[in-house]
Amino acid sequence: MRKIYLTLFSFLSFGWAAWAQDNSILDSAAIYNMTLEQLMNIKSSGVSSELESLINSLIGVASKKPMSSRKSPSIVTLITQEEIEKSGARDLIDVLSLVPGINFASDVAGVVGIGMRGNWANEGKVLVLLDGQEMNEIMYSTLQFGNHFDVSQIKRIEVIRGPGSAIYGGYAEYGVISIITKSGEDLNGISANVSYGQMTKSYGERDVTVSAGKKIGDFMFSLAGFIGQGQRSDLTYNDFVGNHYPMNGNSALNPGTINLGMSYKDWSLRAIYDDYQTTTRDNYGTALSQAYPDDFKSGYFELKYKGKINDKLTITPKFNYLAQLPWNFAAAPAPQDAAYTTYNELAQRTKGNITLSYDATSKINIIAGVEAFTDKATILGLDTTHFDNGSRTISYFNSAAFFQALVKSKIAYLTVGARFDNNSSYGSSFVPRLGITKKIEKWNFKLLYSEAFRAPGIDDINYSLPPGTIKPETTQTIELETGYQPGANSYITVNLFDITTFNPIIYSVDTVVINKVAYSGDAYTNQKQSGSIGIETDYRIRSTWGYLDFNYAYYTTAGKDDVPVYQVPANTNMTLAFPANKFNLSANFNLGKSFSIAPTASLLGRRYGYDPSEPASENYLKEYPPLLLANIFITWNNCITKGLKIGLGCYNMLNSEDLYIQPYNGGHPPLPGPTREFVARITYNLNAKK
Amino acid sequence: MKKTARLIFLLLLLTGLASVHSPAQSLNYKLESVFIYNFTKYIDWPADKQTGIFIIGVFGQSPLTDELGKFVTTKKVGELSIVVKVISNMADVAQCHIIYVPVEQNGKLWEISAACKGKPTLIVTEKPGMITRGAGISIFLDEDDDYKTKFELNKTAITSNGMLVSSNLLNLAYKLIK
Repeated sequence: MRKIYLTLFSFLSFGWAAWAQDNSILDSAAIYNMTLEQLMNIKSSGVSSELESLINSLIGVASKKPMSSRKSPSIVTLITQEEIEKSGARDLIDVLSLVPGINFASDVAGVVGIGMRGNWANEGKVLVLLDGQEMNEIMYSTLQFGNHFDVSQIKRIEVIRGPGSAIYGGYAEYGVISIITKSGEDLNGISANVSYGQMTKSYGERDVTVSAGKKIGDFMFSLAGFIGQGQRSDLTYNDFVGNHYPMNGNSALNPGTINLGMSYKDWSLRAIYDDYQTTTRDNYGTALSQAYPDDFKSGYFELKYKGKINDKLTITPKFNYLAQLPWNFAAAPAPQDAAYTTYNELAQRTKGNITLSYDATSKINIIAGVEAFTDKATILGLDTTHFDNGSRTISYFNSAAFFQALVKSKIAYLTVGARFDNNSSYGSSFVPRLGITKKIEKWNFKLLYSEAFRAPGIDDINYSLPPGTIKPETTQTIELETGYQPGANSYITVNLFDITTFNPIIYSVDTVVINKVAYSGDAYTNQKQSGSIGIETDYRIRSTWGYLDFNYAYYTTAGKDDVPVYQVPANTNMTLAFPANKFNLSANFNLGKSFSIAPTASLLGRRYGYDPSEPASENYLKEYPPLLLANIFITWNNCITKGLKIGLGCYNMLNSEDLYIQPYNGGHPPLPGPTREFVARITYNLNAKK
Repeated sequence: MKKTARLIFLLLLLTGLASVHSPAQSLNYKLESVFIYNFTKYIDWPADKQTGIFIIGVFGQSPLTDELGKFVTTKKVGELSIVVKVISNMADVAQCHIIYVPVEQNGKLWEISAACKGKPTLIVTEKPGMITRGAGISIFLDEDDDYKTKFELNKTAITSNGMLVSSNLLNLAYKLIK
């Protein structure tokens, strides 16, 4: 690790005076004939390149107060609509896999979740926001990936590759992924998108999106409908007891989403219905005799008013309601499938939030607010279980207060913030943060300290051991980043992170000993410590020919991981499922005005997981060799007629065995991913007059 | 040992951050002068100000005077030729169509504003926040957006003195007081 620090310090030290400015536009007479719009895109030192516009574009996710990504108090990745479209990404897995530090792994029941910087993060440690709505289900706080979120409607994705709890609360311990879809103004008409993917033996996905939107004076609306069918893989799943079955036909990923956004002057409304229908036969590891539905239904509603009291003070009250049926196993199982467990629970959250933003001066902004929500869960239908209060209904109340001060001093930008939460079940959490950011011409620096927490989900509390004792886990993170812009068209960042999680909430299927008392069965317990340290670097080039983004991520547990189910006995520096080294490449080359060709690739270093193909004497632990996933996508814009776009490509060109390994020793063999897949996409935009 | 190395590294970084001063970024006068000329395309002066010559005044000494002089004399506002004048007396302020107040003269902004009260003179300053102190438009560098030049606008301050502002200009303003 010392070598990493030395490398970064050397990088920081050289070339302090290596900045040069492009003043050509300011020296020319052309400037006298420019319009105001054109003038406002000129820096005091010249015209911004496309890359400069990108890296200096305002990011809202990191601080609630939009700031340029180079100064925002978080390690941030911005993904644009152009990058998503040109890469031909099939779903959010394809998009986020190219972000440094993000990997995907298998949970249970066919669900694939997210890992962040070498840590399993799918249960309440990464928050996904879709147009501001929290997409984590609230029973276990999990996320579900794979032909779920409609990438064709995404305008941009802002990713915090670090903690965000001081702003967002208990799901943002390791990261925040904020997905912003196209607004009515962006759509300005009607759009349709059809995509089809063909794997070796079966289709991968066949999806359709229809959307419409328009801005009419102060009123704006957008409405998008997404429906489709997909399959996780067409390989064979093998469990530990010798059962096997083909994934095609047994791993459905069928999305159905309606997303409505409306705004009028200072009012805005968002309503999302998300009906993600999947099937599972892998269950908790041992294969069932047939595939069963495992559905995730959710409804989200938000009403927000942004009231400008005066020139300095803005008050934003917000009301949210969500209802979810997550992990919905409501089928009648076949007699031979005794392991099938019915789960049929309705979760509801009703939330109110008031946020004040005060510009004390042009250099000082203060944000403060309060939030309260009630979580209620009800056991339905065939599910015969009850909560630990003996009832089939349970509810919790959570209140929170948060604060953030942003000071733009001449020495540096300083962000100080904190959030306090109190829950009627598991008590209080207090998470402060401190961010110092500085931009010096072509350089930028960030020094960030954040505490964060994971709030236990409703069933984390219900299934806690010893009963009723589960507490929030807490995380301390230190991050350092430096960015350097060698020229107008290129930019490199290097960052270090040091994550320590205390009392992590761990799901166990084996016996757990706590305070010398042994507990067995499926349970959630607070264990001692986990975490990682590492380095990430990202190099971007953008010019008229296209763009190239190359990044690398490394982590090591560095002795922080005391959680047995995460550990790799053969390599104590790594956690299960996640490669210590990963390289990503994302490029696009413009071929004339209409064509572009976009290669993307990920090279994952060796990984570890438990696999039934290994002899029992080795406890099934297997080392998986490095994996190269290479893809290509060609786009033809304005094909035949204006607004028509056709894309063709191939994902996993080398037909590598892409496996989602379980990141904890939970008795589940790796879940196969897609084989080589040929993808075709047609998009048509019929724009209205502005 | 590892913790010590980490601490030393953090201290070095912090020391480096604190000791490095950013090279000063300031408004580019050439750019600013084109902004000021462009404002004339979005603002209507009353009929009695649409005869004679169009006067852009610069209150006190500023490099902007030379930059404006390099090109606005070849331009027109409607049918009016443009002249650039250095204004040093408060009594002469109201004769201008536009009076530009350099940052060094901000202390006199209230006085200038009072002199223009009820007169169709657009007051332009070069520091953010001045639109709450009598200016109609404040030009500034947005350091959060890669030091691009932006402007704030106080619509009331302009229209109450008899000028009309195009909605297109209002839409372009970084900050707007209606």
